[in-house]
Amino acid sequence: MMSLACKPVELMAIILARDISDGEKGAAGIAAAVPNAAMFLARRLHAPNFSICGELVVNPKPKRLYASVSDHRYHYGAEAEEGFLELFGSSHKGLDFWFHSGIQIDKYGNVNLHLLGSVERPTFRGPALANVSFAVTSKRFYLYPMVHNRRVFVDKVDFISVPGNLQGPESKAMAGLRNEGPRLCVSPLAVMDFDPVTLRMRLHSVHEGHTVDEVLANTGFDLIVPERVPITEPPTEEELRVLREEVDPDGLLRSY
Amino acid sequence: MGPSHTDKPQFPDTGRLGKDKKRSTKIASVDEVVSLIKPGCKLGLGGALHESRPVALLREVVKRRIGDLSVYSGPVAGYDVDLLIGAGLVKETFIPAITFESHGLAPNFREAVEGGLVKAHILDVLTVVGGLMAAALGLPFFPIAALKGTDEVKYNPLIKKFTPPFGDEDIYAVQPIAPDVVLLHAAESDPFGNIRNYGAFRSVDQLLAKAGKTVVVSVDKIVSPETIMQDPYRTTIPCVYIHKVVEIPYGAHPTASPSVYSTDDDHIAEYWQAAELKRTGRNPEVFKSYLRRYVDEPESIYRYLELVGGMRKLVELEKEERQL
Repeated sequence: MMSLACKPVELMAIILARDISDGEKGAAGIAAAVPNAAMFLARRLHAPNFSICGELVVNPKPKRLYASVSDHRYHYGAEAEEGFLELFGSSHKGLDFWFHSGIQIDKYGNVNLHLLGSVERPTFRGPALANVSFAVTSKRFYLYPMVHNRRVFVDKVDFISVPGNLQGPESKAMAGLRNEGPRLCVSPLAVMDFDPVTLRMRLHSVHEGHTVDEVLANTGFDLIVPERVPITEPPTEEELRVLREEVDPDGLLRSY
Repeated sequence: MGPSHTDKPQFPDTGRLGKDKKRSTKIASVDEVVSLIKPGCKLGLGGALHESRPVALLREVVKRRIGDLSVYSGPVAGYDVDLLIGAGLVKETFIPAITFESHGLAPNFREAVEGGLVKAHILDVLTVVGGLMAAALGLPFFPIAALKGTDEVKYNPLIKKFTPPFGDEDIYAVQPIAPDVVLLHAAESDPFGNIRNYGAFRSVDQLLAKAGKTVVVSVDKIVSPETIMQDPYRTTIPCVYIHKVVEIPYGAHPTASPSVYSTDDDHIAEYWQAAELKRTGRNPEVFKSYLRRYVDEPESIYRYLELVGGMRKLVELEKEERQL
């Protein structure tokens, strides 16, 4: 049974961790506490040969969870420090995976982190992001919106910061996007994947305590719903223990 | 009278410099270096986010209200650029991301961009690195082949699509980024401007130093030339790229100076609250008093350091850094 004390963001980190395989290479951008927790968790649980790399630092082992590589305390215990020359190269050659949150995410998994409204005079200016390339040069990427509502899950993003599947298979191929693109979208309510034919977002499982109807009511587009939607596999005691005791002892995730 | 931050530190002549004895130092006062920053100039800031930022120098820029600035930076910024914007000194930013990470979004940046007061150009880290590479290497442009499917390419003012002589797809060229003045912060320098920067973002500082027209570094400590010569492999930026060095203890505060002191998260949170109260219109006075208290009124770096918590706070930040 899922612990009642497990926060949705903790569950998100655990779900993302499960999809990381041993021997892979990956990293996450700024303001990325959830994917960082996922990566450190995967390395401790089942992927000891997974390497965090490509973004200045190789295999850091911070004593507590920090939001990103942009915090120098995150670099504790690293095996190497690289420079922007290497980052330039990694961004072109890609990793196995990357992560993005978003102020808007649409039905094709396109990500907006820049703005709402017009570019000339936005009604909302977001933090944007530094690296718009890693997600498309890497073999796949994950979406982890911090809230699941109709403001975030929109039919079409106002601005494509990072392309997911653009407007479907044809436009994706036209843009020269040859990798898998978004694999999973893990939200505080559910896990979504992408229909292999249309490349549109599809409900995969709903977290314990939530319903399909609740997910649909909070999604601003026609989410594909398969006949059977299982409950997301709850965290094991071991996953939650390692996350809380070893990866995030200060409870950064619990503070969100 | 006690030392003030505008005094020139003494040349640490140990008597073992030989022929170098007559060599000019690059040590300058805060007044001298800030006078190099003109209204309307292109200003490049070293470090990134809340690490190795030349904040003490920027407080002097704010104090003097040097405005109309075009601001370039390491690929992510937060506190310092938000402070410049909050004081109304920024015309445009060429910085991929501006955020306070776990604290929240950048309040003054948001308010100014949404209000049409600041133009936040849309660009990414490869544009910044490529543009600095072009300037640093003396090239007319640098190629970027990784930008695909993003709306950024429609708005990024520094790039242009072209057909390269090799390969089978069109790619982008980024023009050189050569700021008029680059401000860096590092842990140590000798009097000649041989810099040791221990941060994870030292490589962007190395690029900025080679790309900028005038390069100024604040350091926590001036060390002897012998210290530098004992281990030249630890010099991150050689003196030939540096125009002025100014010794300002804790000159990166509230951002970190890696190997010396850590990020002052409490102070950054205090700032964020003040700026957010201004943005939301709930209480603009708190931000005004922040500027008065921490920027305009302190007559020296020492007074500033007392205001942000004094010895107790500084020792705490040093201790956190040592334990990393």
